[in-house]
Amino acid sequence: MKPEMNIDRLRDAWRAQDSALQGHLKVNDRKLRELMVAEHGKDLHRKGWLANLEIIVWLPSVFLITAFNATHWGWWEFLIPGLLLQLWITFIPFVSIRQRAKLRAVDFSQPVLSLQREIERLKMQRMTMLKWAFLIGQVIWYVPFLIVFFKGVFDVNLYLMPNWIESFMWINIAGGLAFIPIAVLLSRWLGPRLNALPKFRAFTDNLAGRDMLAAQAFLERVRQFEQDGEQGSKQDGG
Amino acid sequence: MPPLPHPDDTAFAALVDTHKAILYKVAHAYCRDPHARRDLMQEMCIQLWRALPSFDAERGVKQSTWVTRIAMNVAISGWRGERGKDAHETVLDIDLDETVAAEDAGGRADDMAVLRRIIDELDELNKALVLLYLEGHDASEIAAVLGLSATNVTTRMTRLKQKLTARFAELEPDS
Repeated sequence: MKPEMNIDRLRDAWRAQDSALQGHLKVNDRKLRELMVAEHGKDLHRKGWLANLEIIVWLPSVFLITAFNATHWGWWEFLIPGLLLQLWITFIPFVSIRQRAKLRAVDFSQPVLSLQREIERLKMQRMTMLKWAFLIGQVIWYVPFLIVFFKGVFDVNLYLMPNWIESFMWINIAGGLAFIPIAVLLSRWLGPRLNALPKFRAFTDNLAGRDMLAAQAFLERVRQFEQDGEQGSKQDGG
Repeated sequence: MPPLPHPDDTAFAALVDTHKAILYKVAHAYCRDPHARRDLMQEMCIQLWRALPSFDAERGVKQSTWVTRIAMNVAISGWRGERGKDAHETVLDIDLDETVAAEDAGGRADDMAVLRRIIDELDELNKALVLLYLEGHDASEIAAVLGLSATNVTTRMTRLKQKLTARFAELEPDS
């Protein structure tokens, strides 16, 4: 009769693979060096903030919108859309750069469970930020942007245009706000049908909240993994 | 962030060479697609290189344990950089298909195939536990890698062994 197979019987066989693998796997020294040089370059590059394209675009945008708000201080019809744009322009890229930097700086030599928790939480923060930056952006980068753009660049007061407020502004603000739940519902329906387009699928997963649910489920598995063993050892001990 | 080692450091290449089997086995357990697996091993090398300056600070941790921890963290987190476009040349050149190593494993290719299938069925955390056990780590070493207590590891491993034995009985080649 064949003895019962178990993991202990295969432990030696598993480790015996090492000698075969050592022979079959070859480190490509040149490629490894190239990769390290590229990573080293990226790290040096990251230290030079002004070299970052986002910063180059971001700083003038912050300057321009701040200048607009300062010159229109007290004109609430311009200041309110200006402040909304300023909040979006200042807050979103700043948070995004900080989140990316945090993800890059994660120390992979930490114990597995604490690292996985940290990464998943950082990912969740980033998912939330990207989702709401996009959805709120649909409102802010339309009517408020038009008001600020026409006043700032052409000195045109859109409020004085015939029927602007009644026929355009409120309708489009309402449309922008209505877009938020519609985009969420549409991405829920569309996402599962987009397997051939992984990047677009990731975008719809984010809007629909699917990636957030997956992250929460993973964190729950980590919690269960820790708790089950602890409870079991107490029961076994008691 | 600690200062990065110099990219020309040959000691790093030696470290990768010493532990390449661990990188392969972890990548193989977590990633079935051969191309994605090469990217994953490449990402493991990058994270090893980035973490290298902090290794000396860790007293009492074996280098192989430290490498395994990083490899598992990269594999579980599904970390992907912007690499992967150069599919022809990779950091670790693989000169085998997955059955070769199993055939060399004491002539137990069938049993190893069943074991691989069972490992595939596990979730990412239990998979880590089983891989560490198979690699020969004791409970305290596994606890250090995973961030659990040694008693927790022992308890979990006992339960997991029972489940795996039952699954072996279902899947065994002769059964």
